Amino acid sequence: MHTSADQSNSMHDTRPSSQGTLDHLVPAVYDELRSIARRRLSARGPSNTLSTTELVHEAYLKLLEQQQVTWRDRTHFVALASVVMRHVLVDRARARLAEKRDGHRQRITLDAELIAAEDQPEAMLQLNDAIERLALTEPRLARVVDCRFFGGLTEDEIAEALDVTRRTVQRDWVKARLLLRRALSL
Amino acid sequence: MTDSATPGDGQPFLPSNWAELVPLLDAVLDAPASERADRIKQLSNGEAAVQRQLEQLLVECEQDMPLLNESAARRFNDLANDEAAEQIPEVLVDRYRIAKELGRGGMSSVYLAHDLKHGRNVAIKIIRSDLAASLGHDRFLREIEIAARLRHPNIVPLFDSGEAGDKLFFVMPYEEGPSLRDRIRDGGALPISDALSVLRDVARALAYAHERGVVHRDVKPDNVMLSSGAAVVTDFGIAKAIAAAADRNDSDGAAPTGTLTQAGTVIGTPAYMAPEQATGDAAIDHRADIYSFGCLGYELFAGHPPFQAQATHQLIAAHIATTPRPITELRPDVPSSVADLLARCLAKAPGDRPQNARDLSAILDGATNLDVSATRTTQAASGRRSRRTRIWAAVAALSALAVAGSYFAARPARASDAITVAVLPFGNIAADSTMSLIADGLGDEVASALARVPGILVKSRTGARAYRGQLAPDVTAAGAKLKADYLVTAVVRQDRGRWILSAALERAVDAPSLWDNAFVVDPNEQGAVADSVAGDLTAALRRIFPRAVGVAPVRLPHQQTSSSEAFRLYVAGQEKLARRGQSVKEAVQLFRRAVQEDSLFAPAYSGLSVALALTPWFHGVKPSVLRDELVHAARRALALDSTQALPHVALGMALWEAYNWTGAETEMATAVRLDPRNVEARVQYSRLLASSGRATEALTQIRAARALDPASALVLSHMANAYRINGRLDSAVAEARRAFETDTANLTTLLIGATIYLAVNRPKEAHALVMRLPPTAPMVGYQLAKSGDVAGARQLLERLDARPPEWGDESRRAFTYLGLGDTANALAALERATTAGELWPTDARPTDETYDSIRQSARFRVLLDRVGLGRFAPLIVGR
Repeated sequence: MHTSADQSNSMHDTRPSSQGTLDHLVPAVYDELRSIARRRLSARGPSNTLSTTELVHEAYLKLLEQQQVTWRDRTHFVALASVVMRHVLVDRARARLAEKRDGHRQRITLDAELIAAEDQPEAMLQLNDAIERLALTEPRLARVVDCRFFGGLTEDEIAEALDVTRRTVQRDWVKARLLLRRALSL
Repeated sequence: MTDSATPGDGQPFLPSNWAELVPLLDAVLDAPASERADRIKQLSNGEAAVQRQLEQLLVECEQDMPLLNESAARRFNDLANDEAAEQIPEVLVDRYRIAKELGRGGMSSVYLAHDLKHGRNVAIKIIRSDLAASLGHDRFLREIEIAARLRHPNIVPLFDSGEAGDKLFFVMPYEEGPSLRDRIRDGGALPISDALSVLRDVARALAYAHERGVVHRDVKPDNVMLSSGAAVVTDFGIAKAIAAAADRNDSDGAAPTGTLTQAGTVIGTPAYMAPEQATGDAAIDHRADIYSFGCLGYELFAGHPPFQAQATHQLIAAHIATTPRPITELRPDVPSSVADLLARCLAKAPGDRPQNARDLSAILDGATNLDVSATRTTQAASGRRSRRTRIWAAVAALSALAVAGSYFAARPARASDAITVAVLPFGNIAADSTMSLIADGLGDEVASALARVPGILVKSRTGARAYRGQLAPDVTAAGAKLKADYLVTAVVRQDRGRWILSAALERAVDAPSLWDNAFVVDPNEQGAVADSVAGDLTAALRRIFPRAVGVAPVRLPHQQTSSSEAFRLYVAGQEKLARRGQSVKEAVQLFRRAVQEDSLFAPAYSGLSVALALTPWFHGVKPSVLRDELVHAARRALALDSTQALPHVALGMALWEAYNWTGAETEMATAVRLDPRNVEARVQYSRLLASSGRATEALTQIRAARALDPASALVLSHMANAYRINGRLDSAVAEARRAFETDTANLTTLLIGATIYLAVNRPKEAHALVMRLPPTAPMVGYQLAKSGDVAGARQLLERLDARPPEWGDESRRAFTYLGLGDTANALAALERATTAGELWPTDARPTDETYDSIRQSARFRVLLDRVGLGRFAPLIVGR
């Protein structure tokens, strides 16, 4: 990523800095990603670990066609898509809870590897709360969790998306895990 | 520390001095595990509270959080996967991304999945759990292993098989279909010629498999896929493997009974089952497949199998005791040889059936000819017939067009809706009678080349010979006689000492010429001429029937290895290589492993040499680093098989990368001579010629490539560029647009497209294309600047400065400076690029306007000399 300073000299500067463009577009991008994510998630089996990549790809190409983003935005896009993945799962969890228990929530412990199907809605909401709390004080750590856990990105991809080194991503992950465990009282 | 670790909603979970602790914690985490305790002591600098806090945090950091060890999609699989699908075994999940369930059959569930390792779509079939539970897994896998060795164009291969927990699965390519079952359901009985074509394909598949000891045991329309012009048989050996694995379980010797409730004992589909199979005879052999083939053939002509009953036991009884109604009673136009064949296939006793599938093939291959002669006789007998035939031909042509129209909506092409073409013998109006032989040979070559194209059915060659010597045959009558909707006619004539072949494609029904073209015939290069004719024809037919006509299959190397692993690696390497871009590196690895597996496997060396030759272009690796391995691989490939073209292409590229233009050209010319049909050779030769300033010859070579593969975006793009450097800008724009329609993401397409838009002064369109390229593509800086995005170009220069230097960067800088009009920096960068052996004269041709601003400079002339293009300098500089 480059600064926007030299871009202001552009002969026909129709786009502000890449970051600015994306921020400007966020609601549109977000809606687009969300609708694609819903469609994709419901169309496939349980192994959709890579769907974020496809999701980003599809949404990105679509926006590219509309000439609303440039290649300089792509990396931010990936991070954004991961957040969307989380939100889609949270939406579903809320919907399920609303169906089953009139939205009444029961606290469960998230220390196991596997979460029973019937506990997944509640578990997702608890984890989401914890990530939101984390995001208030350590936003980058929360993004790393989104990218890695929800987006299925590799450390290198996360480093590129968040514009930090791979080592930072590794440290962030360790710290994020620590803080999430605390937030979840594990 | 503990005070702030209090859990619970709304309470702080961070230590109050978190901000101060974070840098210290980071430093601790950066230390190797064994030194962390020391690091904490050192960092806390005697402050016991800080030391305690850090120690506590470190303990927590080193704790695992099992929930997060897998992706959310897995941990929350139930949420992620709203529709509950059957549990896919873990082992598959790692290798494949399951896209969706395609269907459930009696024996298995089928999933469409993406093979992550090989980057291809596959169908995964998982044997129904209850069935799998009753099978001997080892036996099943052993049996299926035998089937996995089959490799035949009419058999869907098995990629993989295995057991995962209590599940048995196997993996095959995903054939989009439709299946023959779909076809019959949608359209009923098939036209005679279509049915014959399907039966021939199935017979070939059976013959091949039977000769290798593999029987199918479940031949039926559901297991025949109509895929890009051919019928392919799927699930070969699966039913047999299941039956065998079930037999092993029946070790108590209880005789399997005829009841189908015992799944796994009697495997097959009642409507297609041979009597001996239906009664559970343990000794059934390949002749049961021949019976099923008879049932399938019967259904193709009649629209239903020989016996139709609701209850299974009635069907079995009929197979045992009832003689089916002769097919000619239901469908009088079935050729009598074929009707006889089906009746024999349906014989109750295996000994009364044709004894092997080769015999089926032979009779079916002869069927079309008999068919034609029969038609001819009736026409001779009845003069009034021809009018009717003509009307029928018109109906046929119209329905073919209607079908073609529907292809726009419904992919994919169906084999049996093939475009029927007859190639009439080429006439000779030259004075030289020896040319007649050559004309005959050319006609045959063109017909064979056309026959390789999926979706095109070349009609009887024997029948067509009747037209030899007729210089102006009645196309409509010939079309009716040969049952072809389209006819190819050609004459060879002499013109100022050259042989000229004029060929035309005409629609039989009303004889309008849809295409015609003239070709210069080099008697020593008949194959190449035939290929250009066939390629042009194919392209013409594809324009008329965009969906029905496929692309000629890539000719796989003869199986020159006995190592299945080497072959697998080779095929995977080919796939990666074809994708170009970042996959080239992976192709290199795969070919390297293939030659390790089998050091005598020529095609793998050949692939390796080409992959290494392409590596500098896609991976920023200096060619000299790879040269030794490249030359070794190419030499080795040629030592093993001197007829291969690709090693010469690789050697040519290596010489070219060393600025040895004449040496490179010798190799490229050799490659094209050895295999005039090799698209890669033509493309690279054309690029070489273009780079060295020989625009016309470049166009000739790429035109040959385009004739061979008109659907390749890469070829179309280079074609566009060849037009551009020949000054034919309108054609260039048209070709570039066609390339873009074929593939909107191909790098070459985007790059050349941008160059052409700049050439026709459409900077906005050029800019839009450049923005879709990765910033590291060779000409991006130039194109950004030239399309008005000066800031973008400058930004690229900064970006190049900021990253570790890569081979190719100096050229990127040079082009960017050229775009920005900074000639001093451009020349300096070009000089550095030349010293580094970069390929700038290839990225932008020395005759291009790219260099206009420095063309008069003496330094540029020196550079041209240094890269071996000095002889073009006068031409270029005088531009």
